[in-house]
Amino acid sequence: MNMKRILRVAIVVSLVLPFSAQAAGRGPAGVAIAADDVPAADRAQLAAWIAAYRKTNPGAFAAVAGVNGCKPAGYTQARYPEPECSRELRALGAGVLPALIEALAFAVPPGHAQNAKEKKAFALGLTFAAGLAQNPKAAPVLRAIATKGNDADVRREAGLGLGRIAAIGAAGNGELRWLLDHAKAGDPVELDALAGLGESMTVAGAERLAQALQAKPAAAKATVVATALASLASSWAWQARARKDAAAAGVGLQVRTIAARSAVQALAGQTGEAREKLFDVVAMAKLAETAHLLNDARGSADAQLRADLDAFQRRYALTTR
Amino acid sequence: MTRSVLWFAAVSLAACGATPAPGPVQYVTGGDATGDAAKPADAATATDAASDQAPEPETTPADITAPDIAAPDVPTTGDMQQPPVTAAGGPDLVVDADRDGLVDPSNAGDQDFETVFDGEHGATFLPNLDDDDGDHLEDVFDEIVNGPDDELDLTRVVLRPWPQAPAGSKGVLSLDPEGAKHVRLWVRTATGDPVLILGAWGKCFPKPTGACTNWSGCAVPDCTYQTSQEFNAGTIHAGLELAIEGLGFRMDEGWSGEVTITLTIIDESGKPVASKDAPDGKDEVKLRVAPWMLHGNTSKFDKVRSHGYSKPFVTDLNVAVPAADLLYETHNYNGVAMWNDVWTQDFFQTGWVSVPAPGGKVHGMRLFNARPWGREGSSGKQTEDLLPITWLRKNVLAKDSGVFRAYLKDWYGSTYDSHGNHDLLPPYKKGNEAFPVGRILTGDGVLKDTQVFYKAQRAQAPVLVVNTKWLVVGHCDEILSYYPAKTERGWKLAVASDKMAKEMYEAAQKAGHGAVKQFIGKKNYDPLTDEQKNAEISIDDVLKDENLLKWSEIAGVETAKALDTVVQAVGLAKDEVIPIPFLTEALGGQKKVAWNPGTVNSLIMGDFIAMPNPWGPVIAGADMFQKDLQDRLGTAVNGLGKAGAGMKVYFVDDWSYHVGLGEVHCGTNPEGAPLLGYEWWKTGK
Repeated sequence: MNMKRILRVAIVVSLVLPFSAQAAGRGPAGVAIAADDVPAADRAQLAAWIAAYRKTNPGAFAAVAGVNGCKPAGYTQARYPEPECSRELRALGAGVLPALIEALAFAVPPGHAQNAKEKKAFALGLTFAAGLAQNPKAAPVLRAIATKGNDADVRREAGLGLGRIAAIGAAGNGELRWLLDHAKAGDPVELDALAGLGESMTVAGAERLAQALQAKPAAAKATVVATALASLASSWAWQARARKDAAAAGVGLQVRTIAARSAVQALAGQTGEAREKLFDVVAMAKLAETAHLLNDARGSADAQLRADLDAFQRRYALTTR
Repeated sequence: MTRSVLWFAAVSLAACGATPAPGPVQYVTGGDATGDAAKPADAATATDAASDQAPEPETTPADITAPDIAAPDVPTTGDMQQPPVTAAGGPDLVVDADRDGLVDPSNAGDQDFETVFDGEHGATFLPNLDDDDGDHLEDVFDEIVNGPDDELDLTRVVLRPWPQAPAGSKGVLSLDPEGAKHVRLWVRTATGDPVLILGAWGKCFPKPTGACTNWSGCAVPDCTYQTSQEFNAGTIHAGLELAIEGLGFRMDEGWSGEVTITLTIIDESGKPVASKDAPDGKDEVKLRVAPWMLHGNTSKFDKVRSHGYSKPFVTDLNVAVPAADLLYETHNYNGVAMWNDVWTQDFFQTGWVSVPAPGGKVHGMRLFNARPWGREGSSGKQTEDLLPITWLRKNVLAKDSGVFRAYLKDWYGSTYDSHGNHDLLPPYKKGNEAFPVGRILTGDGVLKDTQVFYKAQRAQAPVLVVNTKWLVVGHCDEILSYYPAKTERGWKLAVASDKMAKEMYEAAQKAGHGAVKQFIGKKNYDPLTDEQKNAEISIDDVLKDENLLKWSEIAGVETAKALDTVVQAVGLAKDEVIPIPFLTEALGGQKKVAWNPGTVNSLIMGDFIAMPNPWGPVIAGADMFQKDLQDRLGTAVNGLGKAGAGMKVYFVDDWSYHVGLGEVHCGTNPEGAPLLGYEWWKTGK
């Protein structure tokens, strides 16, 4: 082997290695995790499901492979000049879920993940779209990403995806339990699980997040919890749910009340971004008792909190006009 | 006959001896009487790196015969005429301190305020960054005056004749050392040719390599500075006409932006020659460099540019832009091969510079500020030819149209440095705070270089920053815009309103139109099957989408923060804020972008507005969103437009931009000449 050839091989290996668990001696791998990261039983079921789906819906796989925004030809022309394909993948709909799962855990579609930032963006988009499909079949892969994925943002997106599956009711109870189990101090995926509870649209999720706030967490954790509570408290999301299920209105009010009250109670104990996010919870919950809650908070507030309350009430008026 | 021709005629007469001509004046290098050096011998050697743009010095300080005396008024720019003789005597430099566009030694306004700068008085000069001679190089990059058009861009300074000055006396003309780094000072010779005598020589423009972190610290080793020149009694007797140009802007706090020119008269022993008017034998004038002024939505434009790749986009703009009486120009491969950036708003910012001109007019040039990074395309190559400054040099640089960069490193920065994230609040006043020429507004994340530059311009600063980091693209033009209005303030703020969009959907549903679809005929991205391509969706399905509504509600909360920042700064009343309805979606990582075409992201051309076609649900024969926008923007109901009768609203099919995460404003860029009514010098900043 001459030097030129050795050099060429070395370049190829150096390009391929970082993106391929297979090259490291493991089994098949997707863009986010290796197939081996998924429990064996789940892995086998998913592989069979994907194979069967490919026979009847080959277009789904071609569509996922064909998204443009995470390839240079796409993102170099977009206004945001970085790899971003979550919008495209979401637009493909839940019907491409097997192809999303395959790309996440079993095989990277050709032409994707040519470098680290493309790999990350593609993984993020696939995880986002897989969660939005709200199909429990995606759960084993999302759990594996949340616990074994290499990228923090993708792990967080997996937590959010599990929360979206938890939001579908009884069929999602397993994911709700998983999130509740992991949303505990000291758990390696605690923050991702807390974030996921913010998508769960459940009273249990709201209570666990409120509980986390009561423990007066450090600013970083408080920010995650408050962001999750704001999402959970979204009055508009609950209106959308109530359009499909009238009974949800009552649950929504319960969740929004837990969220807003716990956020207001936590205001004095937080500052900066965390306090800002707590105000977002109140804004998103849009409770009739908002003014009353804020007045209560004002009673024991220091000068800074009073100023922050003033600023929030001004902004709140702007969001509602 | 142009003013330049008149000037040359005056010089010719002087050279022919139509009036008593003083003897030849020898300009000395390094303070002695030789005068043949290509570079001044006493010039300070600069500490910085040179640009590869500027050629080697071409000018040799030469023998100069002082021109004859002519009319009392000398325009501050343009053709140069001669100063009058003083009866009182004494060294006297004169500038247009009263800002009437004329240098008039007999005018107390010019004489009494020659070293001040405030809202009433103070002389100014232009950075000479256009290309009047068509050599594809900024005029200031060489050491010649590039023809009569270029002369118009030089500000006049007059050394008033002093016939009674003692024989044997000498004059010393000097620039302050810091100012000398930023200007070139020319003198008119007897032959009519301007000759460079003071200021910067050589390659004085730092390369954008990132080697320095502030402009004052940038190395330009091939640049030298001449700070003083001596001349003899003949010149003092006859006077001189000088002209000054700026090498560029005040880029940071390292320079005040001012240049001090001092004239000292000394006798043969070197002592100051005292006179009644100048007991210390000196006179001093100050001039301030013009700042770069951003155009904003309510500016007067005359031209709009966009890329030409999208036929529907171009077709619709070809209706809207001419209707507003503006020129519309598309660029594809015009000048720069394979130019692939369709986001015309983003890769440069339009603006201008100006100084006072006679008759209450202004004189100046358009100036285009380049973004630090280009689109390298699939190749990943970050080469000079792909930088916006290169495109601007090839396509925009021309007479009265200049280009510049305000960054210290090529291929640097992020999405926040795209100029859709840099805008201008129209003029306003709140309490003691006044922004009569507008105030720069940006979103988050702007490069420090740019922030420092904006601050250094002063007139439209301090910058108001609104939160945009929650958006994927992260630009302020995604949520805010400004419309002319017949109100005391003269404008109103447009702001994205998810709430209004949701309420409109709800109202339509309540009225029985829930099954009506929107985005008819529109496709999402490039999926393979027709079903996947179809973007159509019913009102009912929009309102059942928990995620879409939640994301939109979050967007509303974030937008309110930005709105609050502007409302607090400006003091806007409730009826000065116009909500523009569309919903918002999240992408992976939870950042947001407009889900409907983001109609706030529009091109404003006076009373005309080119707005993204919302492709909304068609109810009773009308697009629900179009109808609302026409009703509120296109009628007198909100007092919009100069006459308050409403704006002319044109809808533009920008779907291809929408799926690329942008809208009409992002894809277009309007420009205009220096604006009357935006005289920065009146701000005193």
